[in-house]
Amino acid sequence: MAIAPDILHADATRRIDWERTRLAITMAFAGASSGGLFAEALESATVAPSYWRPSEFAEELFLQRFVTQCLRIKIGGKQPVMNGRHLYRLLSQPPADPAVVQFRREILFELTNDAPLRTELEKLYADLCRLRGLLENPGAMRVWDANRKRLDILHLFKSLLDRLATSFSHAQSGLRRLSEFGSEVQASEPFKALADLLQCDARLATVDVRVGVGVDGSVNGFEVISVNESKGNPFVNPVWRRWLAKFELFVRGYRFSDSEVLARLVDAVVSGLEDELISMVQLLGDLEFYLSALGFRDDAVAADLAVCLPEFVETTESRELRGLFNPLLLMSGVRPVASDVSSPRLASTTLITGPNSGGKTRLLQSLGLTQLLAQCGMFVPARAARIGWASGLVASLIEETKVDQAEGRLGMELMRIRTLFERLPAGALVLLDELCSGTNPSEGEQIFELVVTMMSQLEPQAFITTHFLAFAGRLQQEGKIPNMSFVQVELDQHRRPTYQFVSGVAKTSLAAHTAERLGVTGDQLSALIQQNLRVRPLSGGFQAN
Amino acid sequence: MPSFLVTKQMSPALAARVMASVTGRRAKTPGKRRRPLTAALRLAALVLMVATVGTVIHIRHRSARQLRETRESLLHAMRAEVSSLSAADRDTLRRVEAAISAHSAPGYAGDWIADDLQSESRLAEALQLPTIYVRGPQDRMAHPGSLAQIALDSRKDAFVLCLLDPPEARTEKALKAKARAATVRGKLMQVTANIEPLAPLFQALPLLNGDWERRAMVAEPIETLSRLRKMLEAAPVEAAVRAAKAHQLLVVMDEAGDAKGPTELDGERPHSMRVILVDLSNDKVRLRFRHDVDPSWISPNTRAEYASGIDSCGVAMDLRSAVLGRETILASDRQPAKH
Repeated sequence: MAIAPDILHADATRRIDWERTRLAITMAFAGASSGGLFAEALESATVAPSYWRPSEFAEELFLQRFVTQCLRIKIGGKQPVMNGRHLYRLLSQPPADPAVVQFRREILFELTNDAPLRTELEKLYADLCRLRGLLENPGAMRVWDANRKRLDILHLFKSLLDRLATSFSHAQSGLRRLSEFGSEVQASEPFKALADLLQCDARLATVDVRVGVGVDGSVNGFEVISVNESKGNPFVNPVWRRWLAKFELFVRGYRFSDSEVLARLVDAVVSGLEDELISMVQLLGDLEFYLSALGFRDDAVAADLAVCLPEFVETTESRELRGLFNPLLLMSGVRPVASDVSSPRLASTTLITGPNSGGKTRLLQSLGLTQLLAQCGMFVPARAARIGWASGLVASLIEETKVDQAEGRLGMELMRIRTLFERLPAGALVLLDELCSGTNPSEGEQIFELVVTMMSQLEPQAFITTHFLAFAGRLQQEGKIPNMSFVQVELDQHRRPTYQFVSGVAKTSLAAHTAERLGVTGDQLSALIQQNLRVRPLSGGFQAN
Repeated sequence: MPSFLVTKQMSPALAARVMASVTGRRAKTPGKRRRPLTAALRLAALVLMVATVGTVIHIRHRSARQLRETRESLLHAMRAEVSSLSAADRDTLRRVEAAISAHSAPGYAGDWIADDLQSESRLAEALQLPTIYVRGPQDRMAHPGSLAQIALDSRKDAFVLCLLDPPEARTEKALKAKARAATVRGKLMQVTANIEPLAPLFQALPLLNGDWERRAMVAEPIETLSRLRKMLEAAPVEAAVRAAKAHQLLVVMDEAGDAKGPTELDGERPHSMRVILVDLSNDKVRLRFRHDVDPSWISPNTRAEYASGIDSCGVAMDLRSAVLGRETILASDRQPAKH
């Protein structure tokens, strides 16, 4: 039996529930409803061991929306239905083993640089989608000829195996596994039986005929010259044996028909290739990982942006992110402004200051997605990137007020901090948006300093935004906390944010500008009050139109 | 049990999978699991069907064999009977019919006796030859279609007996003794062993010709063959063979006579009798003799029962006398017996 063609992991493994999928496929062949066969198998598939906990970052990074809207496959102008939940699970749990990441990066690198190989992979995926359609019968259409459906599945399955064996033989990356798998199956006895059965289906016998044509063009003669059966084919039986076989099946409790004979033969062939057929389910999920990554790259390029496979360096080295953009903005139809981010040391705490709506939170999202995608072995949303390996990701970007929350805003924030320290491993990426903004600045600054000081002991790669500008300036001047850097939102000559980030601490949050931009100046509010007084008198009840 | 779905070209692994699929041993195949009860019922039905077909075939085979054996036995028996018949023998009946037809015309051609009969010894020698005998009304003998029925009604009578073994005296008593002997078929009739009635020829000769053999060869079912065998067994084949080999034909024709005269209880009445002896080897007449008979001279007690026999015996004696050149006795000259 050939090893499952796992192209997501350095060590090939079976990740889907094999026996459950076998049962589902058997039922599909038997004509029973098997809708969702692929989806159920992939959603419950195991993923590589991971130290990352999705609950600590997935919602803050809008990971589900990112998977749904940024990771898309387009083949020939069509967008096949993908299994988003499987992809979400893959992305939310980056493998702990760097070898797995490297394995995936090599495949993506090869696909990026070998267009024909990518085309073959897309064709393979299209065939797998057709196989999924035949097996699942998503339209629940009545199958009038069950044997015909089974043979169609087997025809497609054989072409899939042939494609696997031939189209990826020159691959240098893990894609070579596909070729090895296909070749190994092709050399096996069950595959030969499959080929013989399909050959029997296509050409049981050859009939030589002679057709006579009259002077007016009409056919006036038809003579069968010879009938030659494919005698070398193991499925070809003489007529009398075919009759006896039908009779035998009838006695054994089956129906007396040719289709029952064919059904038994198909069953015998399929039973020899069940594991290989189940492998196709897993392979479909694997292909979606790579093709969706390529789709993400295509969308970025179309928006005049660039993605890359980042360079991993030690966390003592400097961080370099060139042309970093936020893919969540891209999927919203906004062309994001790419920016450069750098810091002298990866394992450091970076305080980000700047005006409101200056792009600080978007930067945190971009940094989080970049780290996540990089450690999954995918392209990152940057033209070039040099990043370090993170043992986890903790993000605190959204702080919504909940109906049932037990504490006030400060209390909730303190609980966040407590939880952060409960879970934070050494060397993790930490993204904190406006730490301690729920209380008065003087008391908030004390807690802020405590958190940053204590957290530095874990050598995180921390990015923290704050509007405590004086406090940030003091920390910069004192330099008491080791490995701390400061970046601020760059302003243009009109003191408007350029969405670029430069070293330093911002002098102002430009709240007045933002208030003016949003219509919250004294004159603007006074005008609104006067308008309301004219339209809605203080007494006299409701006014009819 | 191997399956007919498995072929020699299949690899052992594939053959095993086909067997597993056929026998239902392949697990986890919902909807395709074999149904043991259905299979058992169908197997029982198959066994019953095979047994029925086998029985039918056996019965048919046995019937065919019986039919063949019966036919061969029948043909063997028939051929054994036929083997002694020559082509001329098979033609005897036709020649008999032709001779009777030639001499049954109303007009009588006149008495005639061949020279080689006109002595005691020659006559005796001629009468010892195998001879077919038939007697009947002259007017009916003229119709060819009636001859078969006439033959069936005809038997060796007092005429034949008296011709071969005449009474010592031409008295009523002596004639009556011969007539009674002919009637009861007593030991005296043994002298007529060389005389064969015509009837067996009609009854059995058709069974011995080629048509009947061909019919036997194609006859079926066995019941038809059995009927043919019973016909063959019932037919007087031996008598027919003897008749077919006869050298001469002896015919007695009773002319109509005077319808106004009395008729005795045995049918006898005044009339003329014709006696014709034909050599069947060359169809030539050796003897033609016509003589009147009148039972009125017979005593009343005897006449009612033996008039015909007495007259027949008397004609035979007269014939012998005529052949040997002696004076014949007319009916009116005869004397009744004294009781």
